[in-house]
Amino acid sequence: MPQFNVIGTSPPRLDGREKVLGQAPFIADVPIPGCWVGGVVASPVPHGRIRAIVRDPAFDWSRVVFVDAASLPCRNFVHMVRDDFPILAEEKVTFVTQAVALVAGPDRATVDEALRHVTVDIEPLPAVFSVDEALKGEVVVWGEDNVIDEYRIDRGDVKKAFAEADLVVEGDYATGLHEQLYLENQGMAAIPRDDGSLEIVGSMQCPYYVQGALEQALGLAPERLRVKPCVTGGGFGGKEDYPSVLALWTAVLALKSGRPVRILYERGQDLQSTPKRHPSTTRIRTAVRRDGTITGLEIELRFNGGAFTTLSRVVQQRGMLHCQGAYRIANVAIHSLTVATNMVPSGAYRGFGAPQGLFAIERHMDRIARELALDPLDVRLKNIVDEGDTFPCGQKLKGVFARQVLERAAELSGYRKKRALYAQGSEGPLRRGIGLSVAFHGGGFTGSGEATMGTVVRIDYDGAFSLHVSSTDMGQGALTVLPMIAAEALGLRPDEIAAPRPDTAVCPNSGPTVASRTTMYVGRVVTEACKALIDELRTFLAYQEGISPRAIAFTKGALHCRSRSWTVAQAARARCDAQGPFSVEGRLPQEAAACFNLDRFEGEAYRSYAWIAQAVEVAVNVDTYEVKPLEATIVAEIGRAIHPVLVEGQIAGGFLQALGWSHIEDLTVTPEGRFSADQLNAYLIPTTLDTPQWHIDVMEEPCDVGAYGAKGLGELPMNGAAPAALSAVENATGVFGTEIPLTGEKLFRLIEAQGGTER
Amino acid sequence: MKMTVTVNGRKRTVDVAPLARLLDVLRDGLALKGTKEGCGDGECGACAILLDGLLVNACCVPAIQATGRAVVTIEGLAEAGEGRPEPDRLQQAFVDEGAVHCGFCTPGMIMASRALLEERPHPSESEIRVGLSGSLCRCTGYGTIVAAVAKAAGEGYPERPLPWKSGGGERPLFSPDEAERFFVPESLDEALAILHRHPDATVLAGTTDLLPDMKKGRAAPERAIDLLRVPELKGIACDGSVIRIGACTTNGEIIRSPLLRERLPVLVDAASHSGAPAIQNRATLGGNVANASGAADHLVLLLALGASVTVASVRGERTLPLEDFVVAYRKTACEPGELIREIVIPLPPEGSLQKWIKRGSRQALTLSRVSLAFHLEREGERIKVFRLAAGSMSPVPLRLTETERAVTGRTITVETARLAAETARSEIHPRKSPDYRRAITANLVRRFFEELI
Repeated sequence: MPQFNVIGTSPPRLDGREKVLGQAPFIADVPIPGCWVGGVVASPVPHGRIRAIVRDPAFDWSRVVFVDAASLPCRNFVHMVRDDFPILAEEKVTFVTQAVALVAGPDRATVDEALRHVTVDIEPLPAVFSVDEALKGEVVVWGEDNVIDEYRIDRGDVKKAFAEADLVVEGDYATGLHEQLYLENQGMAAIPRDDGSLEIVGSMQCPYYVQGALEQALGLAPERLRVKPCVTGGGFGGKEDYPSVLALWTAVLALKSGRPVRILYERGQDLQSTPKRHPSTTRIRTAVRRDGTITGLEIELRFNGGAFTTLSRVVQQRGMLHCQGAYRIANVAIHSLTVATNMVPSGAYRGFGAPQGLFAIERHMDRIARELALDPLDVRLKNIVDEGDTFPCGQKLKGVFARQVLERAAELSGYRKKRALYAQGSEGPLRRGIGLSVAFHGGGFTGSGEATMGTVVRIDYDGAFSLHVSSTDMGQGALTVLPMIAAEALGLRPDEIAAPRPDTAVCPNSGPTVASRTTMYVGRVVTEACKALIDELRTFLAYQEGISPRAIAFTKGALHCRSRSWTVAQAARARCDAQGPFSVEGRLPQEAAACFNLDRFEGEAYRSYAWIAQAVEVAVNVDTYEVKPLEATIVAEIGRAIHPVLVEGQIAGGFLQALGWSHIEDLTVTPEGRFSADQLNAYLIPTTLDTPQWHIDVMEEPCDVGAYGAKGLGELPMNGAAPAALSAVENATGVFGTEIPLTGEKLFRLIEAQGGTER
Repeated sequence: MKMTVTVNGRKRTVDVAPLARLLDVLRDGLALKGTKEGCGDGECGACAILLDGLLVNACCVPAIQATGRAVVTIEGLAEAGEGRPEPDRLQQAFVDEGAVHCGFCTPGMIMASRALLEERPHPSESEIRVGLSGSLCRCTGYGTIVAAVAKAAGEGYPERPLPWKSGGGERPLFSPDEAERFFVPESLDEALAILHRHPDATVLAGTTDLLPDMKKGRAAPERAIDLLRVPELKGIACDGSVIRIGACTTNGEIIRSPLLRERLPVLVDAASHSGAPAIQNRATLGGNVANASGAADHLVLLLALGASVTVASVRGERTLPLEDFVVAYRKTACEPGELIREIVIPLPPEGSLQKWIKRGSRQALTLSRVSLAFHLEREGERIKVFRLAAGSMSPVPLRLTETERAVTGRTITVETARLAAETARSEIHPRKSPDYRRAITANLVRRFFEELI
């Protein structure tokens, strides 16, 4: 194992001090002199034709600015995967809360009063909210048939596999809406500058996405669009797409009023109008041998995309590429659809399609075990993917640790003994159960995304080092981890490298803060920038010493020639003293990116996968149908733990979100097309008392792409908690849940259908 | 109005509306931006602060009630170093243990931790979890947060008790218009006289519902009377064979009451499972009763305990059994000009048994889906008195009198348990999810008796 100075240590996070002191500036905290307040006229119906937007003359409209689609001073779309999402609805609305018009005024009260004096006259149209209804085609929400995207993978001879199977096991699985519930609501401000440029500040994951959306719609050059994330209070994907919408709204209002305009969402507004995780349904058929070997697999995976594309296509691709599970199956047919409905558009949420598909396949493994009277662990081990196996997309795998994490999680949790013991049942209302799952996550953008991204990182030196990236620290610790990587590469202490919050006027585009790519890919590019820095210093020192650059070596954190040596700090200081401040850039080498054919859905889907297994122990109260998670044993193989404390935080935090989704985070669409929760007493996330004891074990098997071998981590812990929890409930009660959230009421129905829990 | 309040040890005076949220007073009026708004409903804890030393959500405290009191915010914890504040031991422990991620919940989480450590300098892990159960974090999975609190406690934090546990006692200074509409009586007679003149005025106690409703535009009181300065409405006392609890007594006071812990622990249990600490320190017993909601946590228990309600007006006082007081959903027998003075609970006889059970949708800070309260007195083998009340099944909580009658006089056997469960199952008629709620009720009733066999 290589010796590191910085990697693998856990220094206090750089923004920790200002956060514990209450001094960290979130968008609601930033003073913006003369700032107006923005508000949204939202559609009250899920589907309808706009007849008129009526402004009551009783209100003095000169007190505010008002913008509707007709008076929009720019092109009417928010640039995302497709440019189908309008800034403001034109003729039709296709979801409740869709923005029809915008208002800005000097204060909240004035804006609220103005909003009360606007009526949107809408001729309601029939609306559809489920994929099944939408596929009937009677109501067209999007395109000609509501199908936003469709993909297939066919590999091997599925027909033959089913014809020769000992057993065909079939199952239907469903996952519900899932709200990111970042603690800080969405918020954005646009500030017009005297030179005609615009500054955008706010809560966001992806400053260059915001800049791109503004550039495309407003037609302004990027230099005139300066985007600066504030301290961002959680994102989890929820601040990937939607900030572009808010930025355009505030920008339009700022341009119209000539004043800064800020929109701060209230919790109710945030719950009701921002994208959630795609609800999904999955049908799985497997051809199985009596010993549990799966010879054939058919999957039909369907996502409810809501009214517009947003990021659905990419969510669906990732779902497709994970839904076969961590298994070696020769004959596979996967078909996936994203279907438009009159629901608020679904969007990015940690895991990005993978948790839905993995929930289904992991529950299906449990079903196979049940039908064959085998232990679910044995069925998994029978089929688990190993080094050199091939995934359905045709990718031959290397760096596979599925078996290792699974066996280790089983061992650390005492799975086998407990599973057998708990299956015997017990007296009293509390029944214990343990369940287990295995999952994985591809790091970085899907397919060739990293190859085309053009990730750039810059290091400046002007007497001190600063590292410039466009990655946002929304809590995951990016701006602590990336300087650690640079410090390791340069032989410096982490505190010798500043990592300011991104500012598109200053930082290069190192891509969005998404897809578990920051430590792995941006971190890698940081090391490339460090190499460039060393080269730069080597050239300078060689010139100064009158020797060949090749005569200067960089080892053990210092530059050496035969007669003397310099630390990087000394060399940079000398270079700066002689020739002034300087900068270097790093870029991603092409060989570090995957190569994938999206048309044929074939090739290297991700350069590396991280692996995770989880054993969850629960107590089910069979009087009240409550599920209480007790213990979570999580084994994750993540290549390299740059900052072990943050790694554990990511794992526990992500896992808990998934655990919440599995049984208490219950969100549905009402018959009127609204989300069922408009306050936090109706959308419940786990509290301290709903949280299990953590046993987290991290394995490090460096990959050849990420910084110091790091793989993507952020989304990994979201991928397997839910099926493990339902397997634990099965162990405790005997009932087989196929749908999450498995609320108390659903559990009650399953237990009733089974005829109780006495065994 | 002019509001004087002691914030982090400094007296501050600001001009605010009487029902302005303390959260806005701090953030906008005093530019203390460390206190965050995550929901405005008392449901997330991001705005938690200390008010007279107790944890509260600043989004649920109106300025009129904070006036004259002592507020401590996250900014007040930092030790003033050389020119710039330095994290105290607790704040530093959060940084060191990796308990800080996005940082948005952090100030409220730290204030909740401080409040806990003020009260319990050496908390167990489960006490830490309970103390922080009203503070939501979406990033960390809580493990590092619990570790940070344990670390600070282990280092002897807090070194000194909080110096700011009471304010200057100033009263709000109303403008002439406000003086006609907002009132801060300091005795019951004064309060009743005002209420007599303004029977339409909103009375303010814990305001855990009112302020969120105002924010959403569902309430806009024209007139309001603050009851928190009326000493007669506070306090817990044993009076012969009854316990009297003033209407403005908070759940926090119930939880901390040595008298109740000894004589009526079931009420302490119910108070501990209603909301979370920051809500418990505000929500009052009288408020819970006055709400007359089917899901009210205390009503169910008070019904089973055979409690009554004393209301007062300038005309005098009257005492009604709770059943008669709660007339319908959100409707009580309070006449105009009357307010709840106290709740009177008969002391359960020696050897009797009380139990309260709530099934919410998660383990803390949750509305009940089903709640049940039991009171049982035995004579030898036989059931002498049995009272059973159920909540969240009907517009207001109900006594299950058929079930009570069915088992009274019987000995406690498996058969009795089954009979009670089945009678209860058929006696309730929940509107939403009826079979689910019936099943839980029947299970819990059966279990109550089975555990006594």
